[in-house]
Amino acid sequence: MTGSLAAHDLSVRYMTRHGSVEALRHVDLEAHPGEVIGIVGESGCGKSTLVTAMASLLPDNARLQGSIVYGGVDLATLDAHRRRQLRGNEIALVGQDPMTAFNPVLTIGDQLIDFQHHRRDLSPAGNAAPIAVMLERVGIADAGRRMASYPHELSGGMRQRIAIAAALLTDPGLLIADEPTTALDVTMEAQIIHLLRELRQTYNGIIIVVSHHLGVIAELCDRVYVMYAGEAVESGEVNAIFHAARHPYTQALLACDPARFPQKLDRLPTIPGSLPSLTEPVAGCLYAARCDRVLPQCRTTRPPCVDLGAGHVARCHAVIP
Amino acid sequence: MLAYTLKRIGLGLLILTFVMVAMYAAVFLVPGDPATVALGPRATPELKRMLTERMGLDQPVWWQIVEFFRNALTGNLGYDVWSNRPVSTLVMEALPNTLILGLTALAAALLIGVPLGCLSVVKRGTIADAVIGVLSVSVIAVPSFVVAIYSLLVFAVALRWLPAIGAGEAGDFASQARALILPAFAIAFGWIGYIARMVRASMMEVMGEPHIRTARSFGLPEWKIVSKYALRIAIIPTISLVAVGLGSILSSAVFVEAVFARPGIGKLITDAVNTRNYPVVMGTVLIMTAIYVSITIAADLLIAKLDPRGRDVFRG
Amino acid sequence: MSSAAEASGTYPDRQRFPLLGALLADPFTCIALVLVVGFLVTALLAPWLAPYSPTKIDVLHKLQAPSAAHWFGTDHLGRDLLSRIVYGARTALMIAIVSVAIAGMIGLLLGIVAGYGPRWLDGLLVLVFDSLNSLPMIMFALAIITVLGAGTGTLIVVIAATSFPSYARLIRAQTLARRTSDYLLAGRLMAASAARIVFIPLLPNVVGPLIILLSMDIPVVIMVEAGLSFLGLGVRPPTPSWGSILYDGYTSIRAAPYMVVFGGLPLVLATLGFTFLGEGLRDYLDPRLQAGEPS
Repeated sequence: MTGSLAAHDLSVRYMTRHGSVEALRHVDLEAHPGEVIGIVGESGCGKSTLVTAMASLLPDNARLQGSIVYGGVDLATLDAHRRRQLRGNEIALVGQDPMTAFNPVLTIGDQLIDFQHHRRDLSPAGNAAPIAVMLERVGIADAGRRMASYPHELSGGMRQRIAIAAALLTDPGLLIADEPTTALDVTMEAQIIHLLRELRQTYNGIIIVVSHHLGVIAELCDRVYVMYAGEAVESGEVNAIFHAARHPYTQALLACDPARFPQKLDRLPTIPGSLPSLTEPVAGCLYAARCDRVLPQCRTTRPPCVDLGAGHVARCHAVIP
Repeated sequence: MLAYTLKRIGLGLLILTFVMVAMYAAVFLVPGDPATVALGPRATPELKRMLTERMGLDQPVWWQIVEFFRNALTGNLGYDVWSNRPVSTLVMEALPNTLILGLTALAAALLIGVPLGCLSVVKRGTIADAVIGVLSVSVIAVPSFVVAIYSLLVFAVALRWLPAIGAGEAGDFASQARALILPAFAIAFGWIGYIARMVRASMMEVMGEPHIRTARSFGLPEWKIVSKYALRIAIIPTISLVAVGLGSILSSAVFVEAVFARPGIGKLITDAVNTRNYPVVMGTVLIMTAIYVSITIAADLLIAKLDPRGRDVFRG
Repeated sequence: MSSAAEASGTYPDRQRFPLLGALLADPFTCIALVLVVGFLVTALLAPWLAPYSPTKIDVLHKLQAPSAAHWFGTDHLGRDLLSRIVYGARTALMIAIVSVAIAGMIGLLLGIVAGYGPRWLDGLLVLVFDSLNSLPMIMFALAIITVLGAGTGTLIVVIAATSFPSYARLIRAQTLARRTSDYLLAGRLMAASAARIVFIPLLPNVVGPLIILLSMDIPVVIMVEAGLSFLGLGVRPPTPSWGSILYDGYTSIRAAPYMVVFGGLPLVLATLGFTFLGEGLRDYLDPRLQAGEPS
C-alpha cells in the first residue's frame, strides 16, 4: 500500500526528571508517493524525533500532540498493537549507526528472516531466496555467505546496505533513512548515496532522508524541510532552498558549509550563540537570539508561515513574499 | 576457540595442582602428628604405629608427596583411616546423590528465576516488578539451611505432606522424587531471587541497546524481542555467575543434606571431619574442587560459544 | 532500592548527614537500619538484656513452650531460649568483627604486596587468590577444621582465610592502578618514600569499595558461623550460637517446634537487615557493584 503522509501541528514533549523537553513544536509536513523528502538541521533540532514519531517508536515518556496522517489513518490515534502492525510493514526505518543496528549474537540471515514476519507471502522455507536477491540488488556480493555471517564480521558500509535491504524487503509505503551516511567514511557514504539514488528509479513509495549533511540532502532530495530547535523554519523544493533560501537560519547554515568555499580560509564562518534550552517555554522566534536580522516582534510573537510561492514556505517575521 | 579452550584447561590444572599441594602440606601443620590427632584419646602406642604406617607417615616427606601425586593421578586418593576402604570409592558412592540434589536445585532455580526476571522486565515499573524486586533481594539473604529447617517444620512436621528424612527407597522413583522436593527447594530458594534479579538487570541493559530498537522498528512482537533478541545476550552474565555459584550450591548441599539426613557428599565429609578422618576429607575436597573447576571451564566455554564476539578477545 | 529518592528526583535534606539522609529516604533501608542497630544493641548489651544466664541448666523445666517466665520458652536442657538468643547475637558479632578485621588486614597487606612488588610474586599471589576462590568455600572450611580441630579460634581462621582473597583483589587492583599513574611519578621525582607513595593516595580511594565489601561480608560471615555451629563444627558448647540453638531446635523439632521458629528468626532478621543496608549503602556509594550470591 502506498499513500500520502501529512503531519499537522505535530508536537512532541519528553517528560524527564528535569522537566519536560519540547523536542518538536507544531511541525507541518507533507509527502507524496514517489517523492524524496529531506529533513536537515543541526544536532538537537528534532529531526530524529520527527521521524521516530512517524515510525511510532517514541519512548514511553514522550507525549505527542497533533496528527500524523498516513494513507488516510491518523497514526497518533492508533493503539499500540495497530502501530506495531504498521512497523516493518508499511513504514520502514533505517537507523543511524549500522555498527549497532544488528543483534550481535544472531546471524544476519536469521535476523532478516525474522524482520520479514509481516509478509505472509514469504513462508519460512521460501524466505531465504528473495532476501538473497535483495542483498545482491543493494550491492552485497556472495549473499548466501553473508547471510550466515554475524554482524561483527561485516564492515559498516555493508551493514548499512543490509539495513536498507531489510527495510526494502518489507515493501513499505514509507521508507525513512535516519542519517544514513553519518557513521560512514567518505567512500562508503558515496556508495550509499549512489544506492539510494538508484532506488528512486524503482521504488514508488515515499522516501524521507534525515541528515545534518547538506551535501547528502542536496544530492538525493526533491523537497527539503529545514529544522531548528524543534520547528520547521523553512521548506520547499531543493533548488529553492539551496540557491534561494530566505530564512536567516537557512542562509546562515548554507553560508557555513565549507564545501562552498573555493579557497582556504583562516577562519570558518559559524553561527554565533547556541541552541536555546528546550526545557523552558519560549515566546517568539526560537532563532531570535542568534539572528542577524532580528526585529522587535521576533522576541514576542511566534513568526507566521510566509508563502513564497511554488511550495516554498519560511517561518519568519523578516521575510516578505 | 581451540587455543582459548586449551588455555582455560591449563589454568584449571594449575589451580588444581596448587590446591593439592596446599592440602597435602596442611597435614604437616597439625600440631602433633596426624596419627595421634586422628585417634584422639584412644591413642595407644600400637594403634599409633599401625596408623602411622598405614598413612605412610613414617616415610620421608618428599616420598609422601610424590607418592600422593602418583596415587592421585591413578585415581587412588588414599584410604579411609577407619574402614580402610578406598577414598575414591566412598566419594563415588556419595557423589551421585549430591549431584542429583544440586542439579535439581539449579534446574528449579533457573526454571522459576529466569521467567520471573523476564516478567519483571516486561512489566517494568509496575507493582508486580516492585514486588518481585523486593522478594528477590529478601530470599537471597536467608541461608539455605534455615530455609531447609523451616520448610521441614512446615511441610514435613506440621503438614506431613513430604518426607522429613532420607532420600527415598532405592529403586522407587516416586519416593525418591518426593524426598527430593524439600531439599532441592531449600537450596533453590535463594537462587530464584538471585537469578530473577540478575536476569532483570541484564535484560534492562540489553533492552536499551540500539539493536533492540531495530527489531522493534520492524514490528517484531515484544515477546519475541524479549525471548530471542534480548535474552540470548542477557543470559550470558547469568550463566557465568551461576557457574561460579555452583560451588555455593554444593556448599548449601552439605547443610541441606545434614538437615534432611540425606546420604551424599555432605554427610560423608561432615562425618569425616568429626572423626578427623583426614584422607577422606582431603580426597573429597580434591574431587569436589576438580568438579568445580571443570564446571567453571565448561561455563566459560559455553559463554564463548554463545557470544561469538568474545571468542577472539577473551582475556581468560 | 532507593527508588523513592530516585523517582522524586531529589535527595532528602542533606544537611550535615548526607549518607544518613539518603539511607533514611528509602523505607526498606530504614527497616534495615532498625534491624542492624537492634542487632548491634542486643549484642553489645547482652548481659543487661538477657533475663537469665544462657548456660544455666534447669532440666526440670526443659522444653517448655513460651510463657510469661520464658518469653521464647526453654530448650532441651531447660535453658532460657531468649537469653541464649541474646547472647548468640554477641557471639555472632564478635566472630564477625574479628574475622572480617583479620581478613581485611591480610587482604590489605597481600594486595599491596601483589600490586607493588615484583611480577613473579604478583603472579604467585594471584594464583593463590584464584585457587582459594576456586574451592567451594565449605570444602575449604571443613578441610581446615579437620586439621585444626573445631572451635572458635578455628572458626575465625576459616572465615578469615576464605574472605581475604576478595579484599586482596580489590586492594591489588587499586595498587596496580596507582603504581603506574602520574602522581606516583611525581612522588618519585620528589623522592618521597615508597610507603608514602603507595599509602597516601591509595587509602582514600580504597575506603569506599572496601567498606561496601566489608558490610556485604558481615551477613555472610554471620551465616557461615551459624552454619558451621549448626553442624557442630563452630563454636564449642555451651557458648550460645544461633547455629547451635537452631540445631537444638532441629533435634527437638517435634517436641518443641517453637525452638526452630524463634531460633531461626534472629538469623533471618539480622541477615535481611545487613543485606538491605548493604544494598542501600551500595546504591549511595557506587551503584555499579553487584549484590552477593545466596548461600
